[in-house]
Amino acid sequence: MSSHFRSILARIIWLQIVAFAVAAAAVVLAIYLLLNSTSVRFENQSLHVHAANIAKYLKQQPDGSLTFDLPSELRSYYANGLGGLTYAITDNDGHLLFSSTSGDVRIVKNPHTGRPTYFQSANRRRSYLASSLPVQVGSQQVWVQVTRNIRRPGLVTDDVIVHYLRHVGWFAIPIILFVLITDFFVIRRVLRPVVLASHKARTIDPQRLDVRLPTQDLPREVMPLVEMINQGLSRVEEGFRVQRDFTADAAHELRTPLSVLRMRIDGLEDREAAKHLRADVDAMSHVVNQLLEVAELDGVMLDPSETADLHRVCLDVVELLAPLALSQGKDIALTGSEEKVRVRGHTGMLIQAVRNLVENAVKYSPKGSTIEVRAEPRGIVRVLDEGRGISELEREKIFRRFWRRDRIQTSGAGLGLAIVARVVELHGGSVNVENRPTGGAAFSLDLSNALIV
Amino acid sequence: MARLLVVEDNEDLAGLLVQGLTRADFVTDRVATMADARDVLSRNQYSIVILDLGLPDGDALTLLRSLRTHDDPTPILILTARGTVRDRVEGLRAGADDYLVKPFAFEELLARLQALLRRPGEFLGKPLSVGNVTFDTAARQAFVDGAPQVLSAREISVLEILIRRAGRVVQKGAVEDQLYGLAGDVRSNAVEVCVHRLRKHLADVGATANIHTIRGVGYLIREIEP
Repeated sequence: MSSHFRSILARIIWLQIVAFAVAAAAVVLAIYLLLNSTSVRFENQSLHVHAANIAKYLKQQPDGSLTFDLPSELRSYYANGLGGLTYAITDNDGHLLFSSTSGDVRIVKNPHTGRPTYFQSANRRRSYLASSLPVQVGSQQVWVQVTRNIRRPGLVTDDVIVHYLRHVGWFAIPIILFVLITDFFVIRRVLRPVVLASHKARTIDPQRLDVRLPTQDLPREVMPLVEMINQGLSRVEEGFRVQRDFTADAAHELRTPLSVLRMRIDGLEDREAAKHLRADVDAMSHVVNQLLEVAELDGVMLDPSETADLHRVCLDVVELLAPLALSQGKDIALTGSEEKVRVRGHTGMLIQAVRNLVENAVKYSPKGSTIEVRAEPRGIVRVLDEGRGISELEREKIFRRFWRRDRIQTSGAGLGLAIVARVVELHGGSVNVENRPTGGAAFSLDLSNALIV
Repeated sequence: MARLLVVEDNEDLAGLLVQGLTRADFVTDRVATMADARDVLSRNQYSIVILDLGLPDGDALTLLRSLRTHDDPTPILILTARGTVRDRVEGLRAGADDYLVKPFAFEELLARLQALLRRPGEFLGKPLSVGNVTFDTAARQAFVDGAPQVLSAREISVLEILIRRAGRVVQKGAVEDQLYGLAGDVRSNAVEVCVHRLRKHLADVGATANIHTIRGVGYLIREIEP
C-alpha cells in the first residue's frame, strides 16, 4: 500500500475507510447473528407452545389405547400448512401414532431424551426448526413433534437486517464522511509544522549552513527525524567551517613565505630569470589572495545600512588595474555614468567583484584591445572586452569554483568568477554574460535591486 | 635621511627587508617583538614604522593603539598577512597610515613609503625617474637622457605629479587640483591640452617614458617597453 499512497494523509484516510468497512460488516454480521438466535429462541418457544397445546387433545382410553381428538379448525390449520407448521406424534418406540398430514413429517425419528428437544435441519430447498416434547398420557409416554418450515417468505430476521441497512445504514454514511473530512483537516493541521520545516529546508545550501529546521509545534512522532536532521546539519556545518578555516589558514600561512620568495627573486643577478620567477610568484600570490577572499565571503553577512557608489567602485578598479592592462599592451577605459550610482552594499566586496571581472577580461583579451568598464545609472556594471567571448557551453560553468576556461593554462585559480557570483548573490543581484555583436564578452553585474533612487 | 623601523618576527623576511631598504638608502633598524619595538620607539625618532601584526608577544594593533593614544604621530605602515576587508578597516581605524598585505612587491612598498614621507623631496635624496626621464624635485627640473628640458610651469607640474606616482594612475581630478594651484585660468580641457603637449614633447626628444590616458579616470606615466 505504501507504494500507492506516499502521502500520510492518503494513507490514514484509506486505512480509515478500510477500518470503517470492516467494522460495518462486523456490526451487520453481529446484528444478524444476534437477531437470528433471538428469533430461533422465539420460534422454539412458539413450537413448544404448539406441541403442548396439541398434547392436551391426547387421551388414554380405559383399554390403554390412545385417542387424539383435535378440533376441526386446528386440524385443518395444521393439515394445509398455513403457518408452515406440521406435527407428528410418536410412541416411545418411535412408531408414528398421529400426523398432521398423511406422510411422515418427522425430521427426527426418535429422540430418546426425557426433556423437550429442539432441532434444526436443512436440505437443499428447505430448512426446518422442530421441537420434540415428551408427554405422559396416562401410563403411556409419547412424543409430540412440531416442525416449522422456515424457508417461508416474510420471516422476521431477514426483514430486520434489511430494515437496518436501509435506514440505520444510510444514516451512518454521512457520519463516516464527516469523520473522514474532519480527519483530512485535522491531519493537515497537524502536519503543517512539517510543511513549514520542509520550506525551511529548501533554503539550505553550502553558503547557508546555519539554517536549522524549526521544531516548534512539530508532532512528537516527527520530532526525532527533524532533530536528527538538525544535528546532522550542525555536523556538516562544522565540517565546512573546519575546511574553510583550513583553507584560510593555509593561504594565510603562505603569505609570509611568498613575500620572502619574492624579495629573494628581486635580489637575483639574472634579471631575465627574475622576471619570470616574479610572474610565477605573483600568480601564486593571486591564488592565495583569492582563496582568502572566498573564505572571507563564505562567512560574511551584509550590513543592510551600508551604501556604495558603483561609479566610484569602477573608478577604483580601473585605477588599480590600469597598470596591469598597460603592461600587457591592453587599454582600459571607464565609461558610463559620471555621477554617483548609489546602491545598498559593501564597497570593498563590490570592488572585489568588479576587479575579478576586469582581471578576467584583461587576461583573455588580445594585445591592443580595449577593456571597457561601465557603471550605468540603473545600477548595472558592465565589463566589456574584445576577446573571443564565452560559448554557450561555458556560460553555465564559469561561475563555479575552480573552473578555468583553459585547463592547461596555469595562471589563475578559477576562483575569480565564483567570487563575483557570491558577492552579487550577497547583494541580491545577478551576474550575466553574453557575447557582444562585435565579438568579445560582456559581463554585467545587475545590482538594480539594490539601487537607491 | 629617513630612518625606518621594521617590526617583523620572520627572520628571512626581516633580513631581506632591511637589505632592500638599505639599498634604497634608508637607515633601517629592525626588531622582532612588541616589547623591543616599544623600547626603541621610546629612544629614537623614526620617519616611518613598518609593522607586522602577528608578533610573538601579541597583536601589534595594541602597540599601534597605545602609540596613537599617546599622540605619537610617527607614520605607521602595517605590513601583514591579514588581508580581509575587516582587517584593513580595523588596522586603519587603529591609526595606521597605510596597510599593505603580504605577499607584496618591494617596489610597491617603496612607493608607499615615499607617499608616507611628509617631504617627498627628501625621499632617497635623488631624482625620480621613469625610463630615461628624470625629475629633480628640488630644482623642479626634468631631464631626458640627462638633457635638461624646457617645459612650461603647467607641464612641469603635471610631469611632477605623474612621475611621483609613476606606474600608477593619477586621477584627472588630482592633476586639475595641481594646475588650479597655479596662477591663471584653467579651462575645462586645460589638463588634456597640457598632457597632450607634454606627451608630444617627450616623444619628440626620444623619451622612453610615455603618458597614457586612462579614459574616464586619469593619466599614468610608465616606461615604454623595449
